[in-house]
Amino acid sequence: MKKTLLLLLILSLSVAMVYVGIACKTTAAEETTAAEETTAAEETTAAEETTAAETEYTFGFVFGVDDPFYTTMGIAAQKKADELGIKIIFQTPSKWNADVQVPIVEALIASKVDFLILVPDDANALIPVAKKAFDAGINVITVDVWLGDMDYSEGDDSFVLSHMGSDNFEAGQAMGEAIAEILDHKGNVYTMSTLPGEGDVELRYEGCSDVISKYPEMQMIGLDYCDNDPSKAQEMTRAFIEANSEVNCVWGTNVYSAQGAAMAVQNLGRTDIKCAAFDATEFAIEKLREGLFQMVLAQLPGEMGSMSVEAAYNFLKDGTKPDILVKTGYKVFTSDNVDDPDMQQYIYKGVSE
Amino acid sequence: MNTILRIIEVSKRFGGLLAVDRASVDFYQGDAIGIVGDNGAGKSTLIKMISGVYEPSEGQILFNDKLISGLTPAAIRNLGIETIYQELSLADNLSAYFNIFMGREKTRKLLGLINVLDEKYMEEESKKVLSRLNINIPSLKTDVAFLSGGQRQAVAIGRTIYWNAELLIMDEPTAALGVEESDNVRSIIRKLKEDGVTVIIISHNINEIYDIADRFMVLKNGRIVSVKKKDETCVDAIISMIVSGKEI
Amino acid sequence: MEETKNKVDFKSKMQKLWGLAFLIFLVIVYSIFGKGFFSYSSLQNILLASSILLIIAIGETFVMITGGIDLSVAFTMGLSTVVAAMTMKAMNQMGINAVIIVIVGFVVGIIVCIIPGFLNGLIITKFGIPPIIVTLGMYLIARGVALLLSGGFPIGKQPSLLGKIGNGYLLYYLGSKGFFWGIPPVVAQDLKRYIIQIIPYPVIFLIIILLLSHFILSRTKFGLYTYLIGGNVEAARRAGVNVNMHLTKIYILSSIFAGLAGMIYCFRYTSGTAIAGEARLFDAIAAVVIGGASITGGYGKLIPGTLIGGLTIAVLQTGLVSMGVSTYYQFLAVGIVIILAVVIDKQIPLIYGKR
Repeated sequence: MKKTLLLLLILSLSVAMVYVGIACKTTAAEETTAAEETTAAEETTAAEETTAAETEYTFGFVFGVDDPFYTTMGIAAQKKADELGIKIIFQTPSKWNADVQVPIVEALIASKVDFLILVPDDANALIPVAKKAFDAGINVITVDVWLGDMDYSEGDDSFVLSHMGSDNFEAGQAMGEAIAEILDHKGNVYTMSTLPGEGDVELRYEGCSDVISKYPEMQMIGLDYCDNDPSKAQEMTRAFIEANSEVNCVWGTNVYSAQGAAMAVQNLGRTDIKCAAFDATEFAIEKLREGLFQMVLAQLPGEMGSMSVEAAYNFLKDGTKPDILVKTGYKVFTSDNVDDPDMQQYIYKGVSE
Repeated sequence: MNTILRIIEVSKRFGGLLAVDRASVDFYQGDAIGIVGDNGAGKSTLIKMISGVYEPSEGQILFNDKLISGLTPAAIRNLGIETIYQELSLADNLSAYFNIFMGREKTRKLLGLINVLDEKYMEEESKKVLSRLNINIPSLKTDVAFLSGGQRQAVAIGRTIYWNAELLIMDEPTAALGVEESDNVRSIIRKLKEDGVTVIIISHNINEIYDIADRFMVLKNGRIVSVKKKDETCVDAIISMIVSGKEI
Repeated sequence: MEETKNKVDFKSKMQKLWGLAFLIFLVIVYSIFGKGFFSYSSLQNILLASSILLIIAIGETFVMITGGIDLSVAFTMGLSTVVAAMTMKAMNQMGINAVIIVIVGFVVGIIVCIIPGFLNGLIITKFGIPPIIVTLGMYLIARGVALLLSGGFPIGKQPSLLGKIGNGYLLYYLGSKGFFWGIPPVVAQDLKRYIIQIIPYPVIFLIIILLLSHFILSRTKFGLYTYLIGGNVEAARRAGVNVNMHLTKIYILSSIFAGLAGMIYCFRYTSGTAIAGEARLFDAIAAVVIGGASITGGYGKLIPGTLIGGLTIAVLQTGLVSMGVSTYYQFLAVGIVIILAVVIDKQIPLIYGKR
């Protein structure tokens, strides 16, 4: 029996070492790839840039949660980082929750990254820790979701350098226009969103409502929150459709809400209900081709990713301050342009390469 | 001999089943009586009526000339009648002294403000009561789970003695024990008798209790077949009575 | 006889040691392979990161020793942050003195927790329904109430004193200027990097609560009855212990701890939200289990037990970030450790002939 215990202890320590080993190898692999690309980049750029690449910065990039939107952002950010010779540590909170995200940021502060790029899970709750980073000499840029009220010129959050994200209101308006077109300016619209109080999706909804309200024969008839869970989105949409006879269009404010809502429509076989989506995942594009979605709006997470990295780099290098608010654009996919070769780049990548 | 407990024409019905049928018997101070009989004879039901778990359907139970049938188990325990069940009612995860003082823990004031368990006192007192019974458990701090069957039995008995039981009812005390440990328990019971405690022992194995019992009560189908002093009978006779249900 | 005593002593030494040894092992590994892990500020952050988790785990420890479990703490915590934040926001808008607001908010946040705790205890004891089911129901009810009250929105606009306390430290040190108590020194931006922060307030709060709870659990009748009920509830009843009353108190206690954790959330994040505690329930139970408590009750300690369990989880999670490793490994890591903890814990008694 004593032997069993000893064996077990050795086994458990071995398991622990193995997983640590795997983790190390992954880090090492990332470093090797980055190093190789840096070397390649150095060889193809001018002498002055080679000198600049010698100061190797490390950035911390913290996403909101795990989804293709952020994966796409990460890929572009990594690409820009490789170009500039920067190392990036990406971290993804397991849940869209401040209590999960804050310790991650704190750990990055402790590992003394040179810059922090952040998608805050809670506009208020993340201010103290972002301030902590700033007080430790680490500057901050927010992407996609902003801190406080998005106005970094004054107030508690004035230490943040910049916010880079979609003009959510405008994009919401574009969604509204597209829906109005699809429905021929007549009909009822149901919205599936993520979490109440989440600024970006709120603005999208407001933008869409703003446009829809201009048309006397159109109405926004429902707004539900699925907690960023596609299966919840599906359940709630299904319930709503079955309880309300006159639903003409269903749309989701982000990846998972759109996905779930559309699946509900498809499973109910309601070909009379049109669907539209925010966020162009491969799933959404496929559904667009199938005719389930009539319109898919692609944000430009890639731009957010690469612009933030570049802005951070420039600030560290020579103190150039980025614009305090940078609005990235959006692209609209319809059945007309879904196969255009130059539109393909705007589809979100599901898995990091 | 001093009569401390009287059971007078006591019966117990469960619906249509007559579990105990007009039982009458006296119990004396310092006397050990073994209650024997086959399964379903009514042994358990009878002692549960004494300890208050059941109320008799008919008849009376008097303890020190006081009517106790109908009182709650807690009240009866406070009068000095303790029962040790087969599973011992010990908390395996606690020490011997916590078990002995279960429900009646001693506390002391820490810094004059907070009530804190007085473990030292409880351990000392437990040591005393166990040595009174000639039991030696080296460390009273260990969880009783680690004690042997006999030691656990001793702790259970120690608990009843510490709180001055006059009448102790034991349900199958040696059933789970080996030869040596059963002997140890019998020694404890002998010591209890010396101290004037009345002991009622239920056993399905007459040989286990023959040595220390002074009298034997045979039950069959709820009726008391016979109550005999040890010198009035023998093992074979008792077994016969258990089986036949007739007095010999 | 002597043998038994030695075996038992060794057993409890082993149990205490292996958890601590594993924790030290982890710290060493991360210090070598991680960047910035083994620094004063990083280790301090681990304590800070574990504060909410540990406070919930303390309450959960009491419950699990009785053989029960409390799933409702996840949303009792959220409910307390919502009620406290709403109260403080309203008072803030009325322009009341910040110190009063903070005290009232704290008290309100704790008091509101008594309700779900009491209901849990009442239903479990009076109707004899298993704790896992009752507290699961309360998890959903508390969630609903918290969401309804807050409209699902996180509640901000709190007095700034809240954040100053939640993110403040007892002591600050700046090389050139010496020590500062309570309030950070006001210096130029580029000097700020060099201020050393010593002992965050939430950690002080945690330490006080932990020591108090440990005292109650190990030295008072209340603590003893908790173990007793977990060990043999029938024996407890026969001995005259009011089991129903005690269990109700335990569930109220657990909810209050959820409230205390909620208050740390409010102070640190100057925000109240229904989902505040959602991510922590599982970690808290894991901490209790890794700390050596038995799922069936009767066993478990706060110090070292749950403390080491909570620190292990915090170290695992933080360490992975410092190694720049994907957060997916976190799930693997915590899962492996839980299973190891339970298996090793079961093996030790088997060796020494537990009854």
